[in-house]
This record gives sequence, structure tokens and C-alpha cells, in this order.
Amino acid sequence: MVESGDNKSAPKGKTYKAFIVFYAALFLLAFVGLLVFALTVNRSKQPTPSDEKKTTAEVSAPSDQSFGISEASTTTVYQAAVEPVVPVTKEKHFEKIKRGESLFNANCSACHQLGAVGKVGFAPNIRNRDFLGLASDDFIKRTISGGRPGTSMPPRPDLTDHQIDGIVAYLRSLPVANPVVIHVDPHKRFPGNAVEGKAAYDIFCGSCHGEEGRGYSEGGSGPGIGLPGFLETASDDYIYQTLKYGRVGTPMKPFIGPQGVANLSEGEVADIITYLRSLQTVEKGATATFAGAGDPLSGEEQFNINCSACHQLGGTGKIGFAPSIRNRDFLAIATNDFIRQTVRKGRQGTAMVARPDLSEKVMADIIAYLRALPVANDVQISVDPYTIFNGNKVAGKDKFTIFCASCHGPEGQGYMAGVSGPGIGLEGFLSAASDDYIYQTLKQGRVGTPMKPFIGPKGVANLTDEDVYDITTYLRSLQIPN
Amino acid sequence: MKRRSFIKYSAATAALTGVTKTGWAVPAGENPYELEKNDAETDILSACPYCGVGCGTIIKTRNGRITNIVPDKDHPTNKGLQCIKGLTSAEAIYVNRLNTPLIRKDMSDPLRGKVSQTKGSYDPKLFREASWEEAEELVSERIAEIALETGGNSVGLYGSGQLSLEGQYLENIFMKGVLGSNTIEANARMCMTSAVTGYFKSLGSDTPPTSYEDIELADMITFWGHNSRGAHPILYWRVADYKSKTNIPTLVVDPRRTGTVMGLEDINRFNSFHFPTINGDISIHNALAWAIMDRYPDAVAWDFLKNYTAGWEKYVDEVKKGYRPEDVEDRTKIPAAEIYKVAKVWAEASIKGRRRGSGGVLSIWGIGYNQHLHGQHNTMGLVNLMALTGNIGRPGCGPHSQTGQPNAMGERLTGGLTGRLPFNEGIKNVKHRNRMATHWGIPEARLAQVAELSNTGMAVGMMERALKGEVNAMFLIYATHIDLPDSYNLVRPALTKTFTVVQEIYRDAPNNLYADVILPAATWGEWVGGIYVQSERRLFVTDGTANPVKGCRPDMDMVIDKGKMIAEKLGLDGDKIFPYERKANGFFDPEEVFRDFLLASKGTDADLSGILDVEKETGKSPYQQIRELRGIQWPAPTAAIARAGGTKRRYMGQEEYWPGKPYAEFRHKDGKLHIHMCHQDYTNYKEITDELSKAGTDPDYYMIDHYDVLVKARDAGLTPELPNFDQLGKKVGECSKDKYPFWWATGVVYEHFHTAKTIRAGTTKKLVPEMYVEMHPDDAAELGVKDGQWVKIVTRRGDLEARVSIGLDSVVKPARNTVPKGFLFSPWNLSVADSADPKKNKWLANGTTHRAFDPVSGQADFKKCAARVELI
Repeated sequence: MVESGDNKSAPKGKTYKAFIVFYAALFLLAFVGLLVFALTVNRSKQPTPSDEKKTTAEVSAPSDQSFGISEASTTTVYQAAVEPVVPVTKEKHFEKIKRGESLFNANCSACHQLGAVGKVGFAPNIRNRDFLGLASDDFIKRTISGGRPGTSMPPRPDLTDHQIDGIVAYLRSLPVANPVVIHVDPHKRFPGNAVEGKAAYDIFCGSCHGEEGRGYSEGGSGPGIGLPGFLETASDDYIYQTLKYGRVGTPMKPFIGPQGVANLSEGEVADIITYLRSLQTVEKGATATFAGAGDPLSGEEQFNINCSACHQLGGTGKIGFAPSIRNRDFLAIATNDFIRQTVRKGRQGTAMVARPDLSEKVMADIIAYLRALPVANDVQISVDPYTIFNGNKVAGKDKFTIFCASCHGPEGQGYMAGVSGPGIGLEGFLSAASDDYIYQTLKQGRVGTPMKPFIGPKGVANLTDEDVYDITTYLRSLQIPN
Repeated sequence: MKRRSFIKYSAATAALTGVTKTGWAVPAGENPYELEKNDAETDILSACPYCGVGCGTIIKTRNGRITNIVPDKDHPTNKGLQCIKGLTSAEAIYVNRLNTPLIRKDMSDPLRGKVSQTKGSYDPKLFREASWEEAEELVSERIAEIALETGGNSVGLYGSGQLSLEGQYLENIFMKGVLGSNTIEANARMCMTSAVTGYFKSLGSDTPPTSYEDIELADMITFWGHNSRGAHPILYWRVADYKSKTNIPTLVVDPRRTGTVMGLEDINRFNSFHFPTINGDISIHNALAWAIMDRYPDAVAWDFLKNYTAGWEKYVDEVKKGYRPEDVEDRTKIPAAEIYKVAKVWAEASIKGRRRGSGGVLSIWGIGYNQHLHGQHNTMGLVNLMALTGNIGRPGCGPHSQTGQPNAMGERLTGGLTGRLPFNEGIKNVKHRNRMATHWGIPEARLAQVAELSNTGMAVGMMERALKGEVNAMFLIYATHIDLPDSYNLVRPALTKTFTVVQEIYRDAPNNLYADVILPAATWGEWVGGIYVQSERRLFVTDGTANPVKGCRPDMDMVIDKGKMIAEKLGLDGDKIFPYERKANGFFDPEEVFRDFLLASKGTDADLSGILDVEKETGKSPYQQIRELRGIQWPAPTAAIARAGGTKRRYMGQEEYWPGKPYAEFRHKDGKLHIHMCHQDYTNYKEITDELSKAGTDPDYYMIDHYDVLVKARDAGLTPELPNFDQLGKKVGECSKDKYPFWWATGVVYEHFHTAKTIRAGTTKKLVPEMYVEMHPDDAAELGVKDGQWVKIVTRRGDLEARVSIGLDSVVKPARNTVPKGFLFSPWNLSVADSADPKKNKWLANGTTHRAFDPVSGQADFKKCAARVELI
């Protein structure tokens, strides 16, 4: 056949050329990432001469071939990059995004995942085109600082405005294909019939968002849109526009217009919104103190909702991410009050956030659940909460560097420093743990984790009591004075 | 409980509960049905009861009753999303239910030449209530008598892609093994057999070689005759989401501007192509092949063609000779410039995918593409083009047929069709037939006899044979007869003559009109469970509450009962063929049947025996393994493959390590993909369609006696009819009564699945309540009809009433598509939404359709009838 002949005798140069185009295309893709930053920085500012040169070279390379990467896709990513423009100077904004990214990774990514892509039935996708098109900066900021009570999204009053700004800037910098601009009128109201709205909600929304919009805790795929935290932040029009546009790439499809799950009328949408608003006024979950013994079954449920994202189902933890708390030694050393304080106050500077929103009953249930978890070869350890060790801070620092820093970070920053151990130099930990708690931990270790004993013959090192006093004193010195 | 005593027990309870209200009307009040049990609240894992995408569904129950449906966020197919049909599927379960066997007082008795005078009527007075014992005894006696008198092949069965795989497997044993009949058909025939036979011819075995996750790896996605936004929305949303993210080019080949077309254009109109062709698919494949070979020769996969295909030389040669895009515009209906544009992006995507080793062009098609006189050639023509451009045998590309029924793939895998045996083998394959005979406990000679019997014309042929008196009895199981074409002239007269047994769930189901015996069945969700096979070969569980409406039985239980009874009457050992016993809950255990099925699959190209190996190792039952993995894709021949969730992709060595794999690169004996040139030639169009128009109009003209005409029409890629285009533009009423100027197509609408459940579910019924006809505004203006007006659509064979729906602003819901001029479209879903009673039923779409079918696949052509619009 003529064709096969053609193919055999195809000049090698052509193949070589094709390869170049292919690698050029690959490089282009990587380059687009850089381009995103460059363009985000300042629309009015031209790329540097060398940038410009590269851009033209890369974009034009495929066009003199019949086949290369499709121009369309290049253009769109380029357009996407133009979208989130904030007129500040290059360096400042770049740093802000960088700061925002590390804050996001430390504080948000446990649930919203790296890159903010979310996880169905767990945490919504927030690098989403439609979400970012719809949610104002103010919406995101209020959500972060106020949290979503009743979900595992806690309020973060501890994050400064400056920090939250960084997180928002980071989210806005994420490249989104085919971006949309959606105008939300925060004052527009959609008065409707709540009874009709409930009927429509149950048919069209309830399967994913749960009964009365309780969200993930019902086991569905959608977040809790009936919870007061959401409803206080989202305007009527925000809900309307969400139903209109959906959230591309997620199970949330449009419910208005021809492309959606259903084509609801404006009246039906108004009914649904009115119904949701009626849920807002309902008192959710008492916060009164709770004196009775906890219920481990309900505790398991609460643990799974509130804690398992990081500590994993069953509390087994994940090295370099969240400590194991179904651990024999931890449960022996930590008192109920220690656990309670830790949950209430969180661990500032880590993904373990303060949870003042959890009721005492819920706290008691979670503790009861942890205590009910089966552990093999139980041990009894008593911790003296009052003793204070007086060691040598300077010697302690050296010893810490030798024995502890490789896992807990040079200043005990923990996971943030990319190490396997938690942040034992952080305020949250130090204010909750007594000196003897630290001593007993070094003595006992945490069986089944990388934390082995450091006192006695079975340990990583056989430290003396004095060594431990020094290390403890050093750690205390890291604590911010009141 | 022993079987006898159980039957007595259930007869007694049926009598006790006093099924006195036999009226056809829907009973008033909510949940009027009594259930067997009253269990605590549990969530049940299941596959959605509707389309072939097979979304993971969680059934919520309370007090043993199904209360709600929730999408399964952990299922890899739908990932927490479901369409409106699936979300509201619980609404259709406890309504309008039959709960006691009914026997027609005036039954048809073909052996004695008696035809019932009361068939086709809805009056409950024509039936009497019976116990299960009496009804089953009557059925087995009559069927055994017919099988002995006029041969097993005179008993026909129309099964369903909604039965569980276990039920389908047993029905096939019952028909071929026990009755010795080769007249077994299923609604898969009207759905996917063109793809089935196309795959066999091209690839050597059935089913798509692809996985859904190829969507997110593709460089271009094409839809052929497929409004996936309406028919398979989850798939559409996955494609649309991926396009939103990556801007890949897409092509939709569909006469209408559907939601699929518009949705993709909304994302990026510069690389969303639409070919509004009518019947031009084969010419389009060939024209694209021509354009790619001519302009983008680098995209042609010569190495692949030479090493792994047979017949490519002829294909290349004949495409080059006859399919220059400019020369075939009369058939493609697409300007050549558009063909070249698509050829360019197709070539680019193919090259990209080949270089990367992943990606390329993914071609998806649906039922509309199969329902052609030349449906098998549609598949083959597309596979030819895919092979030419090397878009087969790597992730992210390939041909992917999307089934309509949730378990049509099960029907195909269990071979529940004329001439087929389980596991992609024909009954003429002696070695495989004898293996199956051993597994089934049937004498080899008996199956050998069946292999010699024919059921010419398949589903349509079965009905024509009934009209001729060759088929005397008919089972309708979990399938309606109104999905078959030419209802008024073919199907209904046939069912009037035969002794007809239906297994039904609804009181006012159209099947009951022609039933001699009605057996009340348990439906999806309330049965014990079973396996559904999705379009990507994924076997998934459809667990149920095992708590049906009191008086109803699962279809699988019914086949075992009647199988044992009839086997005894025919001198066979029923307990050996169906070695199953009822369990403590009163039902058979489908998992026992499934294990037998898995065992029988060993050594075939659909080998699933690895699941049994895993069970031996871990003690995890097959269903439990499937639940935990959220499905296993066949084949799973080894424990390692089963543990990994089966085989994602087939062919070209994409399967995992498989000792003794029964094929090489492709399933054909020579290990190659077979390319067969498919042509389209309109030279003798009028002559052939004039001949075909006798079907349904001349009562003595049987399609099965004129196979030569069908073959001629197929080879030329024709339609069953050719409209009188010269009559277009006339005002309504001015067109003469023997002229039919419009193209008239049936299809589906997003809100409904087929014709039974969604029209009874409150939500979907409310969303799209009425039969409509989509019309071009110019046609409406010329006819002088308005949007929302009721009109009559008339074909040579019948008529129906429908509301005119013009464009996207129509007052008639859903108003989601637009049609080209001269083209009409109606959804067949609403066929009996007005009433199933023939006196009141004005919407029956298949009263008008043509019975011409693809001579190999047997699939009828519902897409291109000629019609006239009249006032009511």
C-alpha cells in the first residue's frame, strides 16, 4: 500500500520535530503555572522581557505544526490566569499568596484537601469555579472566622484578619478554567411558602444535604445548608445563584435551567429558600454544661464528625499529621480534663482548632468514646499536675536539638516543620501539659508510634532525670508569657 | 420451610389479607400496602433501578419500608450525584401494586384454536383472583402441554434488562434447557444488540473495552446519536465537568440541538461541534476517515492497522474511492468544511493520545445510534474510524456504547437472547454448549437440538411468528410490550393469540391487557437482591429489603418455581437443574445462583472465577467483595484481579496478568480487530423503502419472509421509510392522506425512564406530564399550529396525540431541545401516561413506529418514520 510506504519512509526529522513539539507542549503546561502568578500579580504590568520571549516562543511553537497542543486550551488557561487580579505591587501580593498557601495547608487542608479541591461528603470543593465566582471575599472571611457550628468547620477567632486575607488571596490565585463572574445581590429577598419549600427541599435537596439541611452528619454527599452558620453567611441570592450555576466538578449540579438535575421555577426556588430560612431560627444544640457520664455511641458519631478528619477513624492518627489518640500510653497519661481542655482550646498554630462550640454533653460523649476504645495491655500511670521542674534552659536546648528536634522540629513546631512528631513547643500543648505529663511521656513513650521511651534501658536514649528537667525547662521557655 | 407448605402458607395469607379491592384504580391513601416484615431502619447498598450508567444508590428504609434514595458518595461512577429519576425512584414503589395472582376468565388457548374475546380490555371483572398455587399450576400445565404438542420453540419469552443477573441466567436455563426453546428475547434487543453484534464482528466479543474513567483521560469526546444529558445525565455531567476543566473538544452527532449540544457549547462554543445529521452516521465516519487520511496522514495509525487488524486495506481503499466529504454531503447532511474541522481536532487528539500512551478520542454512543436498520454497521463504521486513528487499546480512548437498561449488560453476559449462551458465546459453539449443559444439569443432546431451532427476526420475528401461529405461548417478564414497534398491527394482535403469562408489578400495566395469567412480582429494592452489570462491565449489587408487598414474589423465585414444575412435567430432573431451596425468609438466595454463575464462567473471556478464589482465601462472600469494592468489572479471572476490582480495560494487553487468557490482542481467533467496510448508498432508496412500507400496512406481509429486503436496506444504510418531502410547507389538513412529509423520531426525555415507574412517581410525573412533539418554528408556521396546541401525528401504521413544543421557550415542558426543519420528535416515555386503557390511551408512541429491523442485530428502527401532522 502506498500509505504504509509513506509511513515507513517518513523522514526522521519529522518525528524529531514532533517530539520537540510534544516536549514544548509539556513545558508549556508547566510554564502556565508560572504564568498564572506572573499575570495575577499585575495585569497592567507587562511580563519581563525574558518572560515575554518565552511566552511567544512557546505559544507559537505548536502553531507552525498541524498538530500541537490545542490553542484553545492554552488561551483559556491564560484567560483564567487573568481573572483574579488585585492591583498591588508584585512582590507584596506574591508573598501574600505564599503566606496564604502555607496558612491554608496548615489550617484548612486537613478537610478541604491540598489545593482546596474538597472531598465529597466531607468538605466542599472551594477551588471551584462557581464557588469562587459566587462567594465574595467577605463571605469567605466570615466563614473562616465564624466557622460552621454543628459541623467540623470550627470558628477561628484566633486567625488574624491579616492571616485570613492571605488565605483568601491564595484561594483567589488558584487557576480555574473557564471562570465565571456571578453577580450576587445580598439584599434581594425571595419570599415564598415554607411548607411548599419543605416538600420541594425533601425531593430535590434532601437526598444529598440531609433532613433539614443537616449535611454530612446525615451521611449524604452535600454540606449542611440548613445549619445556622451557613444561613447567616449566605444571602438569599447566594442560594439562588448556587441553584442556577451549580458547582462544576462536584455533585452539585444546576437546579435552574435546562442543564440541571431539575428545572425549578423561581417560585419553587423562593419556597426552598424560605424553608431554609425557617430552619435558621430553630435553636440547634444546647451548649449548657453537662454533668452526667458520656455516651460512647453518640461519642463515636461526634468523634467521626469532628475529629476523625485528622485523627482518623478510630483515633489511630497519622504520622506527621495528627497524633494517635487511641494510644494506650496517651490514654493512660492524659486525664479527661486534659482532653477536654485540648478540645476546648485547641492547639494554637496547628490544624487542631479550638472548639468552644461543642456542648459539654458532646465533649463528655467523645471522651467516653475514647475511653471505651479497646487497648491491649492496659497500663496505669499517674501524673502529678503540680510539680515544676527547674532545669537548665540552655543545656535543655542542646539536648532538645539532639534528641527531639529531628522529629518535633528545631523549636518544637511539629508537623508544620515537615517532621513526623506533633508540635510540643507550641503554646497550646504546653499550656495543657504539666511538667510531669512530659516526664511520663518520655518515660513511657507512645507504644505503636515513632515516640519511643527516652528514659530507661528500652528507649531511644537513656536520658537521666536531669536531662528531662533541662528539656522541660527549655520547652517552657518557648511558651509565650501570659 | 418446605416448598409445598410455603405455597400453602402464602396462599393462606393472600386469602387472609383479603385482596378484595380488585379495581384498576390507584388505591387512595399513602402506603396502603401491607408488608411481610416490620424491620428496623437500615441503609441498603444498591445500583439505581434506571439507566445503564449504574449509579451507586443507598436505599433508606424505615420499618422495613423503602422511604428514600440517597446517592452513594463512595461509588466511583456517580461520586455522590444522582439525577432526578434516581433521586425520586422510591416514589414509584408502593403505588398501584398488584398483590394477588389473577387469571383471565376467557383465556386464549392456541392448541384448541381459541382466541380470547376479552383481551385488550381493562375491566377487572374479566379476571378472577387465584392463589399462587393455582396460578402456577395452571401456567406449568399449559406451558408443558404446548411444549409437548408444538415443540419448545413455540414458547417465547420476552425478558428484561431490569431483572437481576441471577434471574436472567435462570430464565435462559429455563427456556433453552428445560423447554428446549430458542425463542428467548429481551428488551435488550430494542436497546443494545446493534452494539453487541457490532462488537462481535469488530472486536470478537461483546461490550465496551472502556471504563468511565476514560472520560477524565480523553483528549476529545464524541457522542453519537446520544443525548447523554437526557438519557445518561451522570455521564454527561462528568464530560461537561471535564470539559470545563480542560477545554477538550467535543462532538455531538444528533439531528436535534439537544441539551447535550447546548450544554457543551455553553462551556466553550469554539470547540464544541454538532453534526445535525439524519441517518448519515456511516457516511460521516467514512468522510472523517477520508479527511484524516488526506489532510492529516500523521494521525493514521498504520502500525496498529498492520499488526493488529484484518481487512484494513479494503477499508482504506474504498473510503478513498467513495467518501470525499464534498461528495457525500447528500448523505452526511454536513457541509464538507465542518467535516474537515472535526477531522483536524480528531487528528490532533489521536496524535496526542498516541504519543502520551494515554488519551485520544473517546466515542460514546447511546440507544438512538443502535436503533437503526443499519445499527450493527453504525457500530462497525465507528470502530473502523477509531481503529484507523489508533484510538483503541489504551486508557482514555476507545468505543463506548452506553446501555439503556440498568442490567442490559447482564442480559448480554448471561446470553438471554436467541442463539446465545452465557459468557459471549453462541449456542453453535459445541465445546462451550456442552460445558454449559454440564453446568446446567441438562442433557447435551437437548441443547444441541435447541441450537438447530431458529427464531428468525428475533424480537419482531417472535411476534410475527406468533401471528403466523408458530409461537403459541409467551412470557413477559419485567418488560413491557409497548417498547416493541408497530404495536397495533403486530405486537398486540400477537399477544391476543398466544397464551400469555405476565409477571407484573402494577395494576394498570399495559401487559395486563393481554395477559391470560398475571403473577404479581416484587420489584427492585424490595426483592432479596442480585447483581446488575453497568455499561463499563461493572458488576454491582442491588440489595433489597427482602420485604416485598405482601403477596408478591421476586421474579427469580418465580423462574425457579415454574422451572422445577415444568421440568418434572417434561421428564427432566428439576431439582438437579435448579438445585436451590427457599431460605428461612421465604425466598431463594440469589447469591447461591451467583456462585454457580461465577463457577460456570471459568475459562471464558468473561471469566469471573477469581471472585470465588478470593472467597476461598478470605471467606468474604462474592456479594460482600463486590459491596466493599463498589463493584467488580468483568473479567476477573484471578484472585489478584478480583481483589483489584476486576479489569478496567480490555484488549491490546490492557488486562492484568491472566494465565490461560483465551484470546490474544482481540477476541477473534486470529487475535486481530476485524475491519469491515460499511457503505451508505442512496441509489435505490425509494424502491427499497416502498417495499418496506408494506410492513404494518399489508397484513400478509411479514418482515421475516423478506430478509433480502432488510439486507439490501442495511447494506445501503437506508431508513425504513422516506418522507414525501415535496409535501412539506402545506397547511395542516391540506396534505393528502397518503402522504407523510415529516421525519418522525421517538426517544427519551430526561425526567423519565421508560414507561412504567417514573410516570407513577409524583415528582417526575409532575415535571413532564404530557406527550409532546418537538417541532421547528417554521414548520409550525407553515402548518398553522401553535406552541402548546394538541395535534395528531399520523404514520402509515397508526397515530398518536401530542402537544406541539417549539423551542426553548415552549409552554410545554421540558422545552430543552430544538429540532431541524422537517423533523419531529416525541418521547416514548409518556406512551401510557394518559391511561393504559386502549379506549383512553392516545399517546402510544409505538402504535406508529415501523417494524423494520437490522437483519443481524434484530433491533428495530424507531428513529426515522415518515409522518403527517393533523388536527384533532
